[in-house]
Amino acid sequence: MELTKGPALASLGGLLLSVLVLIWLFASPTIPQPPGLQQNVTAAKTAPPVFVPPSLEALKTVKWSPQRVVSGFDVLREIQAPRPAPLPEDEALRLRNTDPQSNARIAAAVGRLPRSDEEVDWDATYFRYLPSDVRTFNYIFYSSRYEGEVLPLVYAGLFGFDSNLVPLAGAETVSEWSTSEDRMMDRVVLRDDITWSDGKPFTAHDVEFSFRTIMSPDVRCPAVKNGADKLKMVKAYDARTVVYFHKEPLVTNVFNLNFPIMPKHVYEPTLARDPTMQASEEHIRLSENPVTSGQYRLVSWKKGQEIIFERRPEWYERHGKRIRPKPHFKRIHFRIIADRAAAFLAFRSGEIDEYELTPDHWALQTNGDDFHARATKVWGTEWSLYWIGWNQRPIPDAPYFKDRRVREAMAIAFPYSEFIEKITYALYQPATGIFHTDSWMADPALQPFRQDLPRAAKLLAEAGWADTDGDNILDRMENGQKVPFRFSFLIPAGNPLYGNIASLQKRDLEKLGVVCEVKEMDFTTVQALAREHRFHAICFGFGTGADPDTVRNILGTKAYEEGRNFTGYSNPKVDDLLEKGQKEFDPARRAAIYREVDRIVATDLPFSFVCFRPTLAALSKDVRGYNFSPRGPYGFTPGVGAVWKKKS
Amino acid sequence: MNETASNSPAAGAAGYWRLVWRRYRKRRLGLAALAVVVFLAILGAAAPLVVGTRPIICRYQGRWYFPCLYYYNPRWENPVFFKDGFRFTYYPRGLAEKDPTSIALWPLVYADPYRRVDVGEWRGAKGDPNRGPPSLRNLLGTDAEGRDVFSRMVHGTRIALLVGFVAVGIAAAIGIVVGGLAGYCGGWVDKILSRLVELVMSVPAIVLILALVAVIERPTIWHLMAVIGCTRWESIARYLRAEFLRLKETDFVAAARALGVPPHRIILRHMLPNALAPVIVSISFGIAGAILLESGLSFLGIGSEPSTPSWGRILNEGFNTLGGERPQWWLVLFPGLAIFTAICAYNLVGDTLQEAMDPRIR
Amino acid sequence: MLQHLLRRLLLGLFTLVLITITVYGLIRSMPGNPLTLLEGGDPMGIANPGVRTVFYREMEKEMGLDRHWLVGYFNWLGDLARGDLGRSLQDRSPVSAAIGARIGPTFLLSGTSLALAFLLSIPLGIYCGARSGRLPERAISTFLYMLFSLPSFVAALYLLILFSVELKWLPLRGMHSSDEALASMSAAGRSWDLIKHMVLPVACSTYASLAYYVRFIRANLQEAIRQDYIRTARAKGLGEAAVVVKHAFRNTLIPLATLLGLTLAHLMSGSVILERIFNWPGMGLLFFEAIGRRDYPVIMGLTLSFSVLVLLGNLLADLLYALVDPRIRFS
Repeated sequence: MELTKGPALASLGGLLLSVLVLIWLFASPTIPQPPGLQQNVTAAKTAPPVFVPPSLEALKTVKWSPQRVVSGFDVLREIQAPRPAPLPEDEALRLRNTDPQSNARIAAAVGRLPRSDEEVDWDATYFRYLPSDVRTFNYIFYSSRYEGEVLPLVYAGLFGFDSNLVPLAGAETVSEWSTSEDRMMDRVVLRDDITWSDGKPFTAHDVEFSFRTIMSPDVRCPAVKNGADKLKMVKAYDARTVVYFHKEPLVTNVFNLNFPIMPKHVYEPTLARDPTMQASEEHIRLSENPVTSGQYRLVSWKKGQEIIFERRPEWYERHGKRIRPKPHFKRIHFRIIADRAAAFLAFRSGEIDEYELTPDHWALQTNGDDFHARATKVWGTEWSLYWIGWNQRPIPDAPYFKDRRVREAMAIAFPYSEFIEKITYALYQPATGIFHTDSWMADPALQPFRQDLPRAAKLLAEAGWADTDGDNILDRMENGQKVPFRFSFLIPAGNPLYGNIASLQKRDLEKLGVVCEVKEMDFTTVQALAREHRFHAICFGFGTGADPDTVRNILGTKAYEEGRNFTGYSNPKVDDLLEKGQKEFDPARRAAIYREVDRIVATDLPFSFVCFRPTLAALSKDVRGYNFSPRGPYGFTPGVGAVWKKKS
Repeated sequence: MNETASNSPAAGAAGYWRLVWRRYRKRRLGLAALAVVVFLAILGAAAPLVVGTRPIICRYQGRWYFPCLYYYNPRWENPVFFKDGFRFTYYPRGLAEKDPTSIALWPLVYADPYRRVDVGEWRGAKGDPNRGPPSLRNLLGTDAEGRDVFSRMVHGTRIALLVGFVAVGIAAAIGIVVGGLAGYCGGWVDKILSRLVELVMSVPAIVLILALVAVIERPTIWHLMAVIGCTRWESIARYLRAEFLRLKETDFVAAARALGVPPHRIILRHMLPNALAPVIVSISFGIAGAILLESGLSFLGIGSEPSTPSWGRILNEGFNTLGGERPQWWLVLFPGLAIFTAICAYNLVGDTLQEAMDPRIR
Repeated sequence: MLQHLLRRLLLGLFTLVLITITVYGLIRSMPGNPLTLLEGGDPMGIANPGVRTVFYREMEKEMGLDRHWLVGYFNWLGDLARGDLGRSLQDRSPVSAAIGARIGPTFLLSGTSLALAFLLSIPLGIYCGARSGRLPERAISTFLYMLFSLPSFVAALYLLILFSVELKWLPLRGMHSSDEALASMSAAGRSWDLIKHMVLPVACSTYASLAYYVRFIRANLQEAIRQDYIRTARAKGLGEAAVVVKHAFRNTLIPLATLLGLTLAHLMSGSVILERIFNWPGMGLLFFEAIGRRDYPVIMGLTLSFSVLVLLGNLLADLLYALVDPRIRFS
C-alpha cells in the first residue's frame, strides 16, 4: 500500500513547518538577560546590615602591627642560604640522578639564584608548555591551575606566600602592610610606581573596584569568588591606601586578600554596558588583548597553539633607574600541547625547557646519554596526595563503608610498598595521613600505612561480614536482606597510575572475599559523580591549599553539600577542631590542633592515603632558579619569576 | 537454491548447505582460516587448561575438585579453598601444606592473567619481574604490574571471541527482526524502519558508546557487548531486507500464501532459511568487526575494567611506552598479531563462504 | 522525479532532527557538564581541594543546565535556525571557527587517503578482476586481504615503532614541526615537512579502504566480464585491454560511484583513534575532546555536519544510481 504523494507531502511539510514555528517561539537568545528582577530578589532575600567603613581619621587611632613585606627573591635566598655549598655546577649537572644525594646536589645547582647580573642571559626565552589553552586573559575568570600560573606573570599582585607557605606581601608592589590588633582589618599601602600597560597608574582604587566587580552577582567567577567572598569589604582611602575588612578574626584571613586586580579605568565604563564582563564584543576583545600590570605583557596569543609574553621595561625601570628586580627572561613562550607524549617529545627535541615527568618517564626514558646531553632531571617534595575515598553516604544507599572497621580493613588491604616500589619506582612517598610527613601539621607519631591482610580479614569478620552462602564472596544481612560485598570503584581515565592502584586493590581485596568492580571514566564524569556522591569507592588526588584550613572543605560536615567532602565523612570533633584551628593564632597551639585532626582522620579512615606525589621535573641544562614547594614549582612567590637561564 | 515448492524447505536448505560446504572445502585458504577460528575458539574456551595458577583437577582431602573453573566464574571455585586460605597461600603451597596426599593436574603453563606470580610460589621460581621482556619463564614478557602477557593473551582470547559472538548475536537478532519486518511488510513499515536504519547509521558510534558507557552505573564487558551490538546491526538489516524484498516476489512464497500458510510460518520456515546466506557472511565479518571495535575501545581506555586481560588493553599499555629508551615492544607486537590473526581468520571465513554461496561464480 | 527528491529532502530533514535530538539527549544525560571541568584539576588527575560548589550552581542556572535537556535542545535549534551554531564553551570562539580550523587537516588526511585509495585501487582492481584465478592475482588478493584485516591502530603502532623509533626516518607525531623550525624553512621545505608528517597517517587510513575497493572492483568486474556483450566484444576481435577497460570496467563505474557517495561522509569525520595516535589536529580528535569537556555547542555542530554529510551522501548515491542506470525508475 503506497501513500498517495500529494497529501503525504503536504502533511509532512506542515508538520515540519509547525515544528519550526514552535522552535522560533521557544528559542531565546543565549546572551543572558540583564539581571533586573533576579538581583532584586536576591537582594531582598539576603540583605545584611550595611557595613559602614571607618573614616581615615578613625583608622589612625587603630593599633596596627606590621606584617611581612619582602621580595620573594630575598626570602628564597634566605631559605637557600643554610644549604651546604653545592658541587661546582658543571659537575653537579653531569651527575645522573640516581639517589637522594645526587638529587640534592642537582637541586641545589639548579635552584640557585644568580649571584650577579653577568651570569644571567637577559635575552633568553623560557619555553614552557601548557596541556590546555588559557580560556581568557581576564584574570577574574581564571579557573584552572595553569591559568593560575600563567596570568600572575602579566598581572601585578600584592600578596603571596613563600616556598614554606608562609604568607607575605611582595615588596615589588607593596610598601607597607599591617594588620589591626583585633585582626579585623588589613591595611596595605601600595607603591606609587606601578603602571598599567596603557600607561595609567595602578592605584588602590583598582583594588577596591576589582573586589566590587568580583562580588557582583552578575559576574560569574566561581574560582575567584571563593575566597574573596569571605571579605566584608575592601575600601581605598586614597590612591595608595587600601583597607581590607574581614568578617571574623581568623588566621586564614590573610589568604583571602589575594584576588585578581583589574584596571578600573578600563572596565568601569564597559561594565556599565555589560555587567557580566563576558558577553559584549568589547569584553571579548579585552579578554584577548588585556590591559595588564605585571612584569611581562602579552605579546601574542595564537589560540590553541602558543602564548608569548615579553618583559615590560616599565615594570623594572623608570627614568633609567632600576626600581625592581629585572625579570630574568626577555620572553616567556608557552606552547600548548594537549597530548602529554607529544609534549615529552617536544622537550626531548629542545622545544620546551621543562616538563613534569611520570614515574615511567623518570625510570625508563630519561637515562640515556642523549637525554643527558641536553637536559637534567630533579625531584622535589610536593604535597599532592593520591587517596581512595570510601563513601559512607552513597546515593543510592549502600552499607559497605559505614562501619569504621571495614574502612580500616580496606585501608590495610592495599599493597602500599608494592605500589610505591614496583609501580612508581620508589619515587612517590608513603603517606601517614592527610598531611604530608614533612609538614608542621602532621602528627609525627603516625606511621606509614602497611598492608596487613590477616588483620583486615579479622576486621571484616568483626564487622559482621562472612561468606555464608559458599560463593567465595563475603556477605551480611542488612535490613533482612543478604548483601554481598561487591562494590564499584570509580577511577578517572588518563593517568595509568589510577589503573594500577585499582588493579592492585582489586587483586588483594579478592583474597579477602571482597569483589571490587573497577569503573574507569573520563575525568569530567568522575568529578561530577564524586560531587553527587554517586559512587561506592573512588580513587582521586588532591593538591594542597596554602593553609591546612583547606581540609575543612574536604572533611567538614558542611562540606558534604557545598565542598569536596565526597565521602560523606562527618566527625563533630574534627569540625570543632577545624573551627578552633581557624581562630588560633599561636603557632604551637595551632600545630597541636591540626596534629590531632591528622590523628583522628588517620583513625577514622574516610580515605586510604595511598601516597604523596613529588614534583618530578626534567629541565634544560641552562635553566636555573627552579625551586620546589609543596604546591609545585610555580605555586609560590616568586615561582616562575625566580627562574633564569645561565649565559653560556 | 530451492527447486520446486514440493520439496520441504528445510530439506532443500540442508542440501544447499551441503553444497556450500563442498565448495568451501576447495579453497585451502578458507580451510586454514576455519582451522584458525576453531583453534581460537578452543583456546578461548579451554584457556584455564592452558595457562593458570589453579589446578585443572585435584583431589583434596579425599574429594575431587576443579579449581580452574574459577577463571570462568569466580563463584565456581569451591568454597573449601577460600575457607582454607588458599587465596593467601596459593594452590601449590596450600595443597602441599594442608593435604600432603593431594593430587593435582596443573595447566600447561603456571601463570596468572590477573596478578604477578610471587617468589617461591611455583617450584622455587623467582617472582615475575615488572615490565620484563620475553623470557623462558614469561614467554611473552610481563607488563607494568608484573602480570604475564602470555596468560593475559590466552585468557584474552575468550574475551575477544565472547565479545565477537555476543555483540554480533545481538546485532543479528536486531537486524533480522528489523530487516525482516521491513522486507516482508513493505510500504510504510518499510519506510519507517529504513529511516530508523539511517538514523542509527548516522549517529556517530563513538558518541553512542561514550554516552552509554558513562550513563550505565556499573559497566561490565557485557554492557560493552550489548552496546557494540546495538551499533552494528544495520548492515544485517539491510541485507535481510533486500533478500526478503526479492523473496517476496518468488513463486514458492506466493504458493505458500495461496495455500493459506500463516505469515509467521512463511517467514520462519520458508523465507528465512533462504535469506540467511548473506546474513551468515555478514555475521562472520561482523565478528571480525566487533573484535576490532572492542580492541579499539580498550585501546582508548573505554569500556572494560583496567584489569581485564583484553588484547586492546595490553596494546594501550604498550603504546604508552613507545618513544622512550626502552619501548616495551612485546606489549605491542603480540596483541597486535593476535588481533590481526583473529580478524583475518574471520574475514577469510566470511569471504570464502561468500564465494562458496555465490551461484554466479563457477 | 522532483517530487521524489523533495520527499527525500524532507525525510532527510526529519531524520536530522531525530539524530540531533538523540545525540543531544545522550550527551546531556552523561554525568557532568561544562562547568565540572572549570572546577580545576590537572591532566594527572589531581583535583582542587578548595572548590565550593555554590557558585557553580548559580552558573548552572544561568546556563540553563538545571532545566530539562529538551529546553536546551530547542534553544540550540532556534539558534541554528538563525544560522548561529553557538560558541564553544571552552574559549567562546564560534563553533564554526573551531570546526573550520579542523576541516583543513581532516580533509588533507582523508581526502588524500581517499584519492590515493581510488587511484591505486582502480588499476589493481582491474588487474585482479581480469586475471583472477592466476597465481600473481591470488597472491595480491591474499596480501590485500591480510591488510584489510589488520586494524589501523595496530598498523599505526607497528609503523611508528619501525619508522619513527627505530629508523628515525619519519617524525613521531603532529602535523608539522614546531613553528620555529618551520619559520626557518623555505616554502618547499615546509611542504616537505608536511609530507613527512603525513606519510604514516595517510598510509594507515588508506590501506584498509584500498583493500576493500580492490575487492569491490574485482567482484564487480568479474560479474561484468561474464556478460554476453563481453563475449560479443571478444568475438568481434577487440583487444583484451579494450574489452576489459572500455566495456567491462565502465559498467562497474555505477556501483563505484555509489560507493563514493557513501564514503563522502567519512571525509569529514576523521578517525578518532588514528588522530590520537598521531596527534593529528582533525575533527575526530575535536569530537573526542569536546565530549570529554562536555562542550555541547561543538559536539552538536560536529554531529550536525557529520549527519548532513551522511544523508547527503546517501541521497547522492541513490540519485547517481537512478540517473545512470536506466533500469531503475521511481514510481
